Amino acid sequence: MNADTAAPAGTTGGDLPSIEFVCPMPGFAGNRRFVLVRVDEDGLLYSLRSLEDPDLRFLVISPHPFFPSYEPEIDDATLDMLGVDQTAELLVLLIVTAPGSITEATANLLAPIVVDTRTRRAVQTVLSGSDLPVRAPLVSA
Amino acid sequence: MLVLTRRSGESLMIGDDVVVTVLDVRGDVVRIGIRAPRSVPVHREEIFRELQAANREAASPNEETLAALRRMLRPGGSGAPDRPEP
Repeated sequence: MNADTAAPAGTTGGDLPSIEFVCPMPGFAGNRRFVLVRVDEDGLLYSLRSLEDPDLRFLVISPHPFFPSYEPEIDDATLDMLGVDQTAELLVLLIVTAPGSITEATANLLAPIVVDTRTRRAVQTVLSGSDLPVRAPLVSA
Repeated sequence: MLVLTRRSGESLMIGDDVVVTVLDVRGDVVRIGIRAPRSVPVHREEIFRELQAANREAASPNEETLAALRRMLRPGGSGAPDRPEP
């Protein structure tokens, strides 16, 4: 099943209601509930804030403006975990890492966050066998 | 570490509801089948460790980083991505 990689729907007004990870992101076992908040005018950059740990947030982006050819195939195990059916609208987000200099910013293409926008359930999936990078440069130098 | 010997086709249980089955052994390659509840994620260990490290590195960027990213993404900002006109 192809997921929609366009801009998150329903986020133009600012915040989404909270979303819940059906299984925690690797490294963050205690955090399941987050809110997605838009942080720039163009809707390119979002902040995924933990509701359980006020200090925890991730920067996430819609793939399309940055990686136009990115079309992740979400596997059945992931769809099962989300409990989605054929009518589900999936939103794909990439986690951004910006160590040190901003020119080193990367996005995780191998393990996108998939959100069922109807049920607000999410999971960080792994695109097994895809050879996609965990750290893809966000901008060409 | 608990060490068990299993033959091809044999399984072991982890807790009440995770079944790990050795499907096939050829040379140094072992194919393993895992039956687990939906809520139990299954990853290759090296992938899990890599994601864990990447997620931790990505977590909670400071305000300076956020501001720099916003500047970069602004139209005309250095390295702004090409994107379709609205």
